[in-house]
Amino acid sequence: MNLAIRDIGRSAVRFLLTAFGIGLLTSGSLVMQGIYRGIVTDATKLVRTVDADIWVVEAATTGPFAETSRVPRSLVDRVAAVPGVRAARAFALASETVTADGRRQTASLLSLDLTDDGGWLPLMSGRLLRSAGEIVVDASLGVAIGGAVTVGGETLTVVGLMEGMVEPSGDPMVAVAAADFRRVQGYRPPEAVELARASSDVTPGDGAALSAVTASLQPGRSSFAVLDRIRTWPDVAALTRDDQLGLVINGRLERLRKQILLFTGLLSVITAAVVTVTIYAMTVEKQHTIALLKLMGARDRVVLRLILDQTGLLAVSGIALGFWIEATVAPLFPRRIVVDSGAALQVSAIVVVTCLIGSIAGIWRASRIDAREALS
Amino acid sequence: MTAVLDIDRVSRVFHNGGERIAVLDGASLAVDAGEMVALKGPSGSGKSTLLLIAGALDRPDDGAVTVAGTRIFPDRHAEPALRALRRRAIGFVFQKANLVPFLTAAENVELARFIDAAPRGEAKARARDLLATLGLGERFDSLPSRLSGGEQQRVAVARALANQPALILADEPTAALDGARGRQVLELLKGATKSGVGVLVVTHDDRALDLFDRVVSIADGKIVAGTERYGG
Ligand SMILES: Nc1ncnc2c1ncn2[C@@H]1O[C@H](COP(=O)(O)OP(=O)(O)O)[C@@H](O)[C@H]1O
Ligand SMILES: [Mg+2]
Repeated sequence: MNLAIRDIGRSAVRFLLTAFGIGLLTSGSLVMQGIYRGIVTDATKLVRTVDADIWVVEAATTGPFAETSRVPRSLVDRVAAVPGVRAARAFALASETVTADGRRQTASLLSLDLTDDGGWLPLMSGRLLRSAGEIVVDASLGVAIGGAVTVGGETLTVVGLMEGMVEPSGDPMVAVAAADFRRVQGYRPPEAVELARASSDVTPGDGAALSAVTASLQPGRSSFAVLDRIRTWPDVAALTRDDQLGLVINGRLERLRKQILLFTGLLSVITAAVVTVTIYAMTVEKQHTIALLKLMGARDRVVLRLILDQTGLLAVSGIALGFWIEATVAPLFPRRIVVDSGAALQVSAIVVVTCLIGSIAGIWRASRIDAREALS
Repeated sequence: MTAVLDIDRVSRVFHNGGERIAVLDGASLAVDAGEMVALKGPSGSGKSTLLLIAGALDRPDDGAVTVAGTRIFPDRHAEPALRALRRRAIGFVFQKANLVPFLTAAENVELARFIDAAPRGEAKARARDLLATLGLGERFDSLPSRLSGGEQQRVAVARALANQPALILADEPTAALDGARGRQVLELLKGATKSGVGVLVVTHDDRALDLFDRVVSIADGKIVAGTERYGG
C-alpha cells in the first residue's frame, strides 16, 4: 500500500498539471542545454577534426579562432623542420560571401594545400579536392555535387559535401585549393578598386598570408619538446589542440554559457517554487491524515516517505514529460540541439534536487502537525 | 488479572488566562485485561483529558500512568517510544470515525499494521478477517465516503483492533450513531475483550451500560464511583 499514490489518485488532475508544468520547465532547461552543447559541438568541430596536434600562430595572439592571427607562408617549412613534427600545413580561414543558386550568404573559406588534400574533412559524399577550380562545401550550404559556387570572382564546382562543418554563427564552411583561396583573398570587386585608387589607398590584398601553421607529431613523440622548441621563436606562439578547444569554449562561448547557466538557474527557481506550492498544499490538505498517522503511532519516516514519494513522483513524471516535450519540439529548431547523456543527467539531477528543495516546506509543515489535531 | 491501564492519582491543570483549572485532581482508574469499563461524567469534566493521558497523547502534572506495562508518567519516554507504544499497545476509537479519506475500508484497517511495518499479505488478510467478522464483508473496497456513519465507525473499531492492542480507548464512539447502531459498535468492543483486550469507553449512552463490566464516573477531577476492582 503506497499512501503517496493513493493520495495522488484523489487529486490526479492537479498532480498531472503540476507534473506537466515541471515537464515544460524541464524541457526548457533541456533545450537550453541542448542549444549550448550544439553550439559547442559546431564551434569545436574544426579544431576537433583538423589533423593538428600543435597550432603555430602569430606571436602574442591566441588565434586563429579567438583572434586574428597572421603568419608568413614560409613558417610552414620552419615548423616542418622541427624534430618530432611529422607534417606541417598551412592553415588559412577567412569569412567570405559566397553565391550559390543565386543566393548570397556568408561562409567560412578554408584553404587546403593540394599536396595535403584535406583527408581529415568529414566528407559525406562526393570526393576531396583534386585541383583548383573545385570546392568542397558543407551540406547546409544547400548546393548539390556538380553545382556551382561563386566566391570572390571565382566560380568553383562542388565536388564533395561535408557534414557538420558549421561555424557557431551557423555559417557553413567550404574548402578550396590554396591557389583559389589566394585569388579570392586578393580579389576586390571593380568598384572597390576604383574607390581605392581614388583615395590613393594602395594596400594590396595580402593574399599570401596564412592564419596559422598546424603541425601533426610523429607517433609516440611528446608535444612538449616540439612546443618548447617552437616557443623559443620570437615571432610566433604555439598552442596545443586542447589550448584551442579551451580558447573556443572559454573565449568565444563564455558569455553564451553564462546566459544559459543563468536561464537554467531561473527555470530551476521557478520549478522549486511550483513544487513548493504543490507539495505544501498537498501536505496541508492531508493535515488531518498526517495527525491521525501520528496518533496511531506511525514513525516520522512514514510521514516523510509520504511526502518524499509524492515529490519523487512529481519529479519523475516531470522529467519524463520534459524529455517527451523536448523530443517533440527539438526538430522545430533551426540549429542543432545536442541532448547527450551528460545533458540529460545534469538536467534530471537539477530537477530532482530542485523538487527535494521544494518539498522542504511541506516536510516542515508536516513535522509541526500534532497528533491531537486528528481529534478536532 | 493484570491491569493494562493504571492511572494513579493523576492531576492535570490547565491555565486559562490567569485562571487555574484543575481538570483532573487525583484521579485513579485501572482497567484490567479483558475488562470493558464505561467512563461517565458531565461535559467538561475531564473525560477526554483522561483518555489523552492514557493514550500517551498528553502528560499529567502529577501522579503515575502505566500502559501495558510501560510506565509513561512520571517516567519520560522520547516521542518515538511513545509512538511505538500507541502503535502496538493502544487502539483508538473516537466520536468521528477519522478514516483516511483516500483509502478503502480494508486499507484503513490495514493501515494500523502497515505503520508497524507488518508484511503486506498478513496485514491485508487480517484487515479482511476483521471486517468480515464485524459484518463489513461486502464493503472491503468502499471508500469511507461511500459508507454510512455506523459502517465507518465499525471500520474504525476494526482498525483499532488490527494490531491486537492490550488497550482500546474509545471517546464517545456512539455519540454520532442512533441507539441500535451505537449498541452494535459497543458489542463489537465487548467482543474484543474475549481475547483479553482492556477497553475504556467514554459514553453518555445509558441504554447500553449493561454491556460494561464496570461503570465509573468522574466528578471534580476524581473518579468517584466504581473504582474498586472486579474479580481478580
Ligand atoms: N489543552 C487544553 N487547554 C486548556 N483547557 C483545556 C484543554 N483541554 C481541555 N481543557 C479544559 O478541560 C476541561 C475538560 O475537558 P475535557 O477533558 O475535554 O472534558 P470532557 O471530555 O469530559 O467533556 C474543559 O473545561 C476544557 O475546556
Ligand atoms: Mg470529551
